Amino acid sequence: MAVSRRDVLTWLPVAGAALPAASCRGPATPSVADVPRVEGRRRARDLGVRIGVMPTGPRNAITDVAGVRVGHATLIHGKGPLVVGEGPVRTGVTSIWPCEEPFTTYLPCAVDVPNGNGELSGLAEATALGMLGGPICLTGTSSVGVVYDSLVRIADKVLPRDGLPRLEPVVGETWDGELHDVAGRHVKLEHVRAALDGARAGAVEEGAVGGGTGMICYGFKGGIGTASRRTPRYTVGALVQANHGARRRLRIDGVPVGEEIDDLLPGSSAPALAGNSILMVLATDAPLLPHQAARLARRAVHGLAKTGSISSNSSGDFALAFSTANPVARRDFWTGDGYQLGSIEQFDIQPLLEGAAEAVEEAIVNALFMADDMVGRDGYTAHALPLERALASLKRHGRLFEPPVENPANA
Amino acid sequence: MLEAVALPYCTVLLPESIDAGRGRLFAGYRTRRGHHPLLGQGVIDEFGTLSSPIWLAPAELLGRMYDFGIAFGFRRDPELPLDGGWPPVCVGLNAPAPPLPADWEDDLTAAIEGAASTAGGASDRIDRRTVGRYRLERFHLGGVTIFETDAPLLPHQLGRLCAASSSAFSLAVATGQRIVRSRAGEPAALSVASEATLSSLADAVEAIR
Repeated sequence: MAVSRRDVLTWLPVAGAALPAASCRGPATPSVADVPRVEGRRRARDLGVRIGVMPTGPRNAITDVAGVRVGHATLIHGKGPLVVGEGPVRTGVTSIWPCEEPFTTYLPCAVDVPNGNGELSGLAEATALGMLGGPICLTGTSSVGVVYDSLVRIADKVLPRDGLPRLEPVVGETWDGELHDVAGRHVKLEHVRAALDGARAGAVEEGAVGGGTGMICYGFKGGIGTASRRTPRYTVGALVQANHGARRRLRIDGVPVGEEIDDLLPGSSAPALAGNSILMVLATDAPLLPHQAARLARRAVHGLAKTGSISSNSSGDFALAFSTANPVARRDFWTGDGYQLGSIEQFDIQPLLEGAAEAVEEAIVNALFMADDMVGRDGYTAHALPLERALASLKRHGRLFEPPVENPANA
Repeated sequence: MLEAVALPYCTVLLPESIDAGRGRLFAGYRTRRGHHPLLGQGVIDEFGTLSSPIWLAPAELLGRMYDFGIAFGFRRDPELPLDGGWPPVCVGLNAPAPPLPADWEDDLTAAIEGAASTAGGASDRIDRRTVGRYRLERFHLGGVTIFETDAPLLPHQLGRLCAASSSAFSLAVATGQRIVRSRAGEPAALSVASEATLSSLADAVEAIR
């Protein structure tokens, strides 16, 4: 049944009404002693943080979009002073498979670049052709070439020798040079293969893993985070590699956590870089055309902004959105009489736009909540967000809620 | 002057003054048709500049060339700054990739360091002409054209220059002004070519052979 324009215009209050009512707990000025003790790292929502108003998918992950899989290869070894070529090594590769056979099945996609001081290969083709034709890989700045080359080699083994073009690999980067031996060039083909082969549906490992291993976010240890949102018909999921933001700007659910936790700054002898970057990937099972995917991609920056980023001058902030509902056979794309694509009705896209922004915001928060302390090159230390202090901060501002009842599907 | 180094697996274009210390040059590009991947695009789009040689290679080898470009950048500065060679600018050619010799990185390094004076030099394949008071130089290979001019063109003007070319992919670099970091608070004083100058250059784009 079609959703009418009226349905769309009234959708948000209806969806909001389906959520449990906010119930702030505790005294007016809570401290760490007033929040539950947290063992290890936990996802934000599991601790009572509630980002936005929309319901999540069952795993609150990009893999809630059917067919999407995520894998990581994490390289951590060595400690002490930097010795180029030896370490310490704090880097990796994260792969996102948009569908089962992405080399031969293209998906509509689009890219938005809030600030382009970075690399996301495949920009030209994504813009000109509007199609994604392979897994997406996220890594550190100095590994883009080797990951790109690895994907070329893998594609050449997978693709038939039919003379049809191969779409350009999509590889994004953020700088892990504070913690990692970037000049040592440690990522190899085998690591890209491991990230690709290890891709799974279901729960996604978050924090200092894969491409996010050596990343720093708002002056805390950052890395990979994910989240999802359900609309009445569709799901939109986000995965981020978060390596951005100044501490004083960090906001979690609108609360100025970065101002209230102004210690635990990263570094030892080396100064922290200002700015840095974020990669944001959005997947949806809604049938989108490339220009509609572009509209989705443009909403990622709204979620990013709500955590406090202004896309600084030195940031490479890239958002890529793709739709799994419109697969196009590679041969049909390049040859023959054409092909068909489904298209969501213009007024039905509103919940997806909201969901995209919420999912990106929560994915960034999850990256912070799930990443643990890390000591890297020359003793440079990136501290994890202290969860109990963050929760106390949220509670002081009336933004800590009862955690949801554990869903066995999320285990 | 624009210099070129050609090896069987890649051609490297070295814009004038690209190695004269830190700094960036204004750049612009246009894609007309075909599939020519461009690495380094984000920074060109965002800042309108490049600080890297330009690598042209079969699309299949583009990752290897980019990786070489990263190593090239690290030799300039371990922090790979925006004005020190990052990101590498690599343009893909629709051509079959020859096998890479085992020591291709050493060969390529030597060829770049020797520039046009080496056996790999390909600068004689660059068309050079004078348009009014400015140089306009063109290198063409496999549907990709690289322009260099010493006219003071801004990035959007370089894009318009490229738009005058019938090449599938064109990238233009202006060497007349080097963009360097100045002390905080000091705006850079830039010259900008007039529309008349830009029109003359655009008219000459297809004429040079």
